[in-house]
Amino acid sequence: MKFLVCLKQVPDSTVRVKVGGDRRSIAAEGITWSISPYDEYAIELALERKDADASTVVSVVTVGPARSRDALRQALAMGCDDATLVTSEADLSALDVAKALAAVVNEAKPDVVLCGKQASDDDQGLVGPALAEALGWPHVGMLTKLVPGASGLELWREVEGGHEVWSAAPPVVALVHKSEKEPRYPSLPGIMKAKRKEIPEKDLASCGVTPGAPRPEVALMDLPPQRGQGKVWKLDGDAKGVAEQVAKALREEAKVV
Amino acid sequence: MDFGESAERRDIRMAVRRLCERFSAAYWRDLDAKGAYPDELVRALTDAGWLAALIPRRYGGAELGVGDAAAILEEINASGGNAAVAHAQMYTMGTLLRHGSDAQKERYLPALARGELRLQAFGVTEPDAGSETTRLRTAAVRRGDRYVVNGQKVFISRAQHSDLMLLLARTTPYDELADKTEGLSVFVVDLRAALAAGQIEIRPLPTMMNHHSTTIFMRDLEVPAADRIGDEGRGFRYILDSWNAERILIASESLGDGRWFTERAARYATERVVFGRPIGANQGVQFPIAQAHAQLQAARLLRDRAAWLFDRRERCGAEANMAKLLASQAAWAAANACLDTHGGYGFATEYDVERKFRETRLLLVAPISNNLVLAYVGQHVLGMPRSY
Ligand SMILES: Cc1cc2nc3c(=O)[nH]c(=O)nc-3n(C[C@H](O)[C@H](O)[C@H](O)COP(=O)(O)OP(=O)(O)OC[C@H]3O[C@@H](n4cnc5c(N)ncnc54)[C@H](O)[C@@H]3O)c2cc1C
Repeated sequence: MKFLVCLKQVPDSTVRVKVGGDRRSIAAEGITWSISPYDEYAIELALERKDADASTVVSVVTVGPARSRDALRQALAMGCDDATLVTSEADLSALDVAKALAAVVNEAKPDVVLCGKQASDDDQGLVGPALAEALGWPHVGMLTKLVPGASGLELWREVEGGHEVWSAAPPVVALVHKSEKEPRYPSLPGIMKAKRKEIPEKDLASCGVTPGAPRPEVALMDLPPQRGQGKVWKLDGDAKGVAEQVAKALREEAKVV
Repeated sequence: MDFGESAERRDIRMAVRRLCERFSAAYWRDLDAKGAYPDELVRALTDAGWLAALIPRRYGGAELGVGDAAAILEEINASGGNAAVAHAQMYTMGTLLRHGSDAQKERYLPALARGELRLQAFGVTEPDAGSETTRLRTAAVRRGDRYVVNGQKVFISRAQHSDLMLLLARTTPYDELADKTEGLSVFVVDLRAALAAGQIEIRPLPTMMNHHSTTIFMRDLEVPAADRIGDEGRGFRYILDSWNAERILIASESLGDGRWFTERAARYATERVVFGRPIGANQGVQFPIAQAHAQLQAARLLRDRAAWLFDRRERCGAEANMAKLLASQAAWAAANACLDTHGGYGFATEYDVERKFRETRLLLVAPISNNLVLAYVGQHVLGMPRSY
């Protein structure tokens, strides 16, 4: 079975984000980038299939600026077989990204396309469903587990208070919410192997995409205001009195109750 | 001149960071409180191949350079952890690699690379021989195809968490030597077998930080002659050869600590409001952090240069020693700035500052005291009289 995992390079979760000079984007200076966490889960799910059946092929693709190559190499170092980079230095709309990915899917012809359910930078969650739409493939969201079943694939998805098991015959697009195991980390032998792999590069034109799909514009980006100092009441035996003061402050000053 | 890092080096840093994220501050705090050894972390580092970074490919390692190994250890410390728990495997291996016979390498290196054997202990220091290594007294006397070893070692880290120990012992009495740097030999000791035979006793030696140090007593410890590395009497030379790598790696742990301290300090200084404004708005708080950061950057350049020379097989004694000196001092400056910035909270265990503070303090003294580093620079770099 052939998997294609679509991933996005995002600021690492440990990065303390600052607003850029244009006040519409984050300051890119000094940022550590990594694979978006949901995409890492997607890679893990695909690699688990490969662990179970060595004939499985796991490819990865990203649409993004040149630095995204690092994220692809990280995926190769985790154990993926090959990677494709579609370069676009400009920030694209979700629809344009989906169109570019669809072109890669049509060429690579995977059985299953996995995406993270959303990217951790803009949290829009648009690319996966848009890609399924562009391909005309069925799509399943909130995936947590993927096993071969009688009629193709068993797709486990998380729902309120439990899970559902769907079955689908490939080809299918699935959006990953989580993997049972934490994603494996790139190993040193993995890094050495990844180093020897070529990562072919495509541009948008070769994917038949002319950017320009409608997209929302960021009007203003701002950090939440700094938290002021807390207020401490001394508990000197008069618990009821203190509780009254706290309740009053919560209602009249903080206006939260 | 190129100051950039290769894509591969960036990948290494990222991957080590990823692994370390799974071992949280709470994990380290708990180990520290219990004096426990991070078996899970060491297992994870081994499984992902990190501890085999310097082992040649033909023995199952990655055959990386010291510059890469430096990045690995630096990232572990920068993550809030302490690479000391596993670093010995990287630098003690150098002696085996460079001076071991093919048979010894075949026997040990693949098993080390696979994680079936641990070489985490390095037995040099004795109660009467610390900085002055050539004074050590533990005696190995040849009897047929084996040596019989008697003596005591002190401060030997991780002996209870290692299968093998590299041992430096005397094979010629001190008084019979014209050249005092001779007469010592290096052995690979099978600690498990020695313990089972009752020929060795390992006693924990609690220290200021969780370093798993021990005192080791050897009583008629039998070591096969086949486990001696290289020639008899040349052991001190062999150990000297591994020192440059050790200095570069220790410098890197210091740099990782320093990054952790300055990042923490800067963040806290920006967030903590006293007298109506962030404490970092005061120069008295801000400048020591900025100063430490600058010192760390300078030490980093020297470390990078030392590693670059080392990996080109050029002489790097001066650079490696000075990198260790400056990096450990810069980390200590950062540690103090960080502790001061945190006020009383810096002393509260849950902020992790006091733990890292204790850990980084060691690097000014061990594995080699900075006085001895200065003595090296004074004598061997600047040509002044020997001061020790
Ligand atoms: C936590 C910990 C872990 C350790 N782990 C190991 C280990 O795994 N294996 C191992 O073999 N050893 C280990 N050591 C020992 C360490 O390498 C020694 O402590 C160190 O080399 C210093 O030796 P010493 O303690 O005997 O100090 P000494 O040699 O007694 O020196 C005491 C002080 O005098 C100074 N001094 C001595 N002579 C001179 C001189 N001529 N000029 C200027 N100053 C001088 C020294 O710099 C130092 O400040 C460890 C130590 C510690 C604390």
